[in-house]
Amino acid sequence: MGCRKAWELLMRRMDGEIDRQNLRYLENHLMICPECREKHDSLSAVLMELDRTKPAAPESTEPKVMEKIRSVRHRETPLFLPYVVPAAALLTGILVFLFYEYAMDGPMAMINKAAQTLTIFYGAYQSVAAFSRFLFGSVYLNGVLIMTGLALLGGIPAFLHGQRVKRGVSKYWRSVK
Amino acid sequence: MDDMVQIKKCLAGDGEAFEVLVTRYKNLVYGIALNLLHNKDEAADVTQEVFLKVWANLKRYNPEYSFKAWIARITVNHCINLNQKTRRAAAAAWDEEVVCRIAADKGLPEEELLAKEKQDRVRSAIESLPEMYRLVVILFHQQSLSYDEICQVTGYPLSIVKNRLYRARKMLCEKLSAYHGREAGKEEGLWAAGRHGSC
Repeated sequence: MGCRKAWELLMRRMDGEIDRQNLRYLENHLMICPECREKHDSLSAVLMELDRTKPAAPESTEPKVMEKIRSVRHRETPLFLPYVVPAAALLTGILVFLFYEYAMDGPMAMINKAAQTLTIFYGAYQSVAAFSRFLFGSVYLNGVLIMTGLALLGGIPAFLHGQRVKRGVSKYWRSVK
Repeated sequence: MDDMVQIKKCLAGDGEAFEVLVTRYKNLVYGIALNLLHNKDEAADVTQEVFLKVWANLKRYNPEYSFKAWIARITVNHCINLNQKTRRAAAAAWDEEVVCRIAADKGLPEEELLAKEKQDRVRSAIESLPEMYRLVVILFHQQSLSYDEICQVTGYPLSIVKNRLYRARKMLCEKLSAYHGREAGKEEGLWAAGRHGSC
């Protein structure tokens, strides 16, 4: 067996993929070839050194990590809060507006204003519906139009965020190469 | 599978189950961080940061892949980002430790000194490998990650990972053989000088 073959077997041995017969061949070759034996010894020394210097994390890792996690969990915002706050603000605004109208002009004026506001919203909705009918010839498609608009609004920031993450990852692997 | 049980517990709100995962993988994270940052304090800080990151992103973990590889990947990315920010010189980083080691070595018996010298030589051969080779050697031989897991950590195909490990071993052999060659040359020179002197 040549030195080249012995080197291949040595690699397979280091990968833990060598069978008994090849292992015997390799060991026989190492006994008669000082060059290959030296390579084998060098690699064994590397493995021993890596094993000897296997770093152990400080004992304090778990308590520190768990302490930080507990403190973060205490500060954690409830999941529903981001949805509740804008809705509550909108509702408060509407109530304040209605109360103001009531205080200024009486109950009928307040009802009138509320009706006017609803009419404006309804008018806007009608315009979108008319526009979609004009475009697609079907009233049901205005829903599609609105949903597409919303998807785009959400999709653009998501796409930009994805690009940023992707750029970050590829930048890292370029550095490793 | 055992990891998955702990992860499910964590996702169900059992924060203490995470401690089991920290205990299981802290040496892996610390080992990778130390090898990439070359600083014990920073490696300890990074270990904590990585686990906080893992905790925060646990929902995103894909169980199709190995949890060990996922943590290793987060650690490697974190360390490289940190290295890029500080633009440290990797080679000079062990200096402080080497100085401490030399100071500690004083007064050791000769045999121990020789053994230590050999260890230092092997260590410096490992350290002198380019990062992309060193990382694969550390992950495979020190942290016992499989080829598949290394592929998941680095994002490279199996052929590239195998090739890098093969080359890394070859480089290590060449570096250490060159040293042995120089030592042998020195010994021969001394022997020849002694012989010449005696004649």
